[in-house]
Amino acid sequence: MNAKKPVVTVALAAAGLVLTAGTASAATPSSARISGHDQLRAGIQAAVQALPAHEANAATGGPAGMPVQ
Amino acid sequence: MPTDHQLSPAPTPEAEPAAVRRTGHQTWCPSAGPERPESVVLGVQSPESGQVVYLAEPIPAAQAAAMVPEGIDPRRILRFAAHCDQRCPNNSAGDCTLVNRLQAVPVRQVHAHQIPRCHLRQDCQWWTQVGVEACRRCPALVTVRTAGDEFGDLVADPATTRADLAAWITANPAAEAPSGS
Repeated sequence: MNAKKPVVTVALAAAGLVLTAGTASAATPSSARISGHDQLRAGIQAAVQALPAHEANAATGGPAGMPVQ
Repeated sequence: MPTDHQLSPAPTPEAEPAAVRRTGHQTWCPSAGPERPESVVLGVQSPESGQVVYLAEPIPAAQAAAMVPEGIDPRRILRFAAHCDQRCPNNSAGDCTLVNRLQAVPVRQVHAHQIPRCHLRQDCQWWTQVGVEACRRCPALVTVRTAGDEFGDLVADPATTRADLAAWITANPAAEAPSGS
């Protein structure tokens, strides 16, 4: 069984913070780190692509529901 | 002479944060916004794990924010660090009440011994205040606000006590996965 476990999501109003208490997917190794602008840019791109469609669409400037290019 | 702390960023549970509390130096919030002049990137949200992957070295927030496509709040995918602000509603006599509340959130056992290497640690308010318990929870945090999140609203509210959070978690067992499975 490889189903993800439920996630606790915490939105923190004042500090603007969300806590996801984790999923059952493989955890990021604590030693994994990003070095330099190129890795950061790649990480940002991956994170953007993983955003819900409506947020990514907003990022492209397209109307809601338009597939992300 | 370098200290063990400098050479080994990952702390041990035995480390004593109280020893470095209130030393007079400026502490940093590990979940700040990018708008402050001193803001730096702490890490990036990993889509694979849902956890933050930390930067080896800080990068100015403005540089990273410019990499985020227009229309996306950079805090949605990046974690920034900036000076703690005494005007913050979570500030109470120099302590961060937010991290105190976060301590009430259980850490999944699979993450319990994973302490990230973090460039901010020695200046981090959360580390200074509660030590490794903050580090265990920090990777699961994403700086952004979402609507309609009851538990989130509780944690966000400075009036919430840890007992309140514990009661919510008890009443909502499905919201927290059992450890190690």
